Amino acid sequence: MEAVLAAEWVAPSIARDRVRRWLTAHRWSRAHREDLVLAISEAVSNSVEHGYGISADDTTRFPLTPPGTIELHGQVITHADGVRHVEFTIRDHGRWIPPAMLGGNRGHGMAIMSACADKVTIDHTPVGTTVVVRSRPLPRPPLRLA
Amino acid sequence: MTVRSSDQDGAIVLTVSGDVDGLTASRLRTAIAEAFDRLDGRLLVVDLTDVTLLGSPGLRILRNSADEAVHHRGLLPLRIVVDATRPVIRPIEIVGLDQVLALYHSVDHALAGGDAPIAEG
Repeated sequence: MEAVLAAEWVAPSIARDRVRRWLTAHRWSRAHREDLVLAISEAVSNSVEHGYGISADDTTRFPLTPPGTIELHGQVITHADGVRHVEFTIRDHGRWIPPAMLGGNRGHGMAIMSACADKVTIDHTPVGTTVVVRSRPLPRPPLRLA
Repeated sequence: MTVRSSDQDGAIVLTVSGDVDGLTASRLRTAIAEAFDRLDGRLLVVDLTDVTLLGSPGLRILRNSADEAVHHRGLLPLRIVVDATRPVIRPIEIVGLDQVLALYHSVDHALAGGDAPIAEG
């Protein structure tokens, strides 16, 4: 799946809906699917946040630039034995703010993404961040009897 | 996302429905703050059983609110109601908030008084 979202606070909701429908169409199990929906929601939320500056007391947000875009890409990979996994890429063009500058209790998003996936890689650059979420493997669906 | 406030059995119950994410979390924070202001010694129960997504912004507000109730306002500990079969319990357990928050299976349990949090069950 491919989606280009405006980096605004409604983006995580749109991303959740797209991911959920796409994984359902690919017959992903409910528990695995909901874990991935949660992980992608967190990744997209982080991307939205990268597009905003914050006030010193962490109470006010102001856009750094006109809202950019967040690109969301999903791909199912099927192994030789029928096992599948899915890989999502979330790319933004904002600015990453080190967690230390954001005050306490800021680590939850990362913990959620890590728990809900097999592997999460994050690449920060001054002009944007790319996150790759690799799902846990899913056994192939049982064959249907005729 | 909606937050409905009702007075029950000498407590305030906030019933939260829908997705709690970056777009909607500030409304939950406001509702909790308003409830704190009019608690007047009563218990505050936050019912999350109708929540369909609890993102990290929501987790942050729950943790901060629980902390504020006890450590900054001298109120009774906040009580959170979660249905163990819904997606809400998953992020709470991932970040370990089930060890910090007073969690209950139902509003009735939360209102019953006495200590019966899920984490100790």
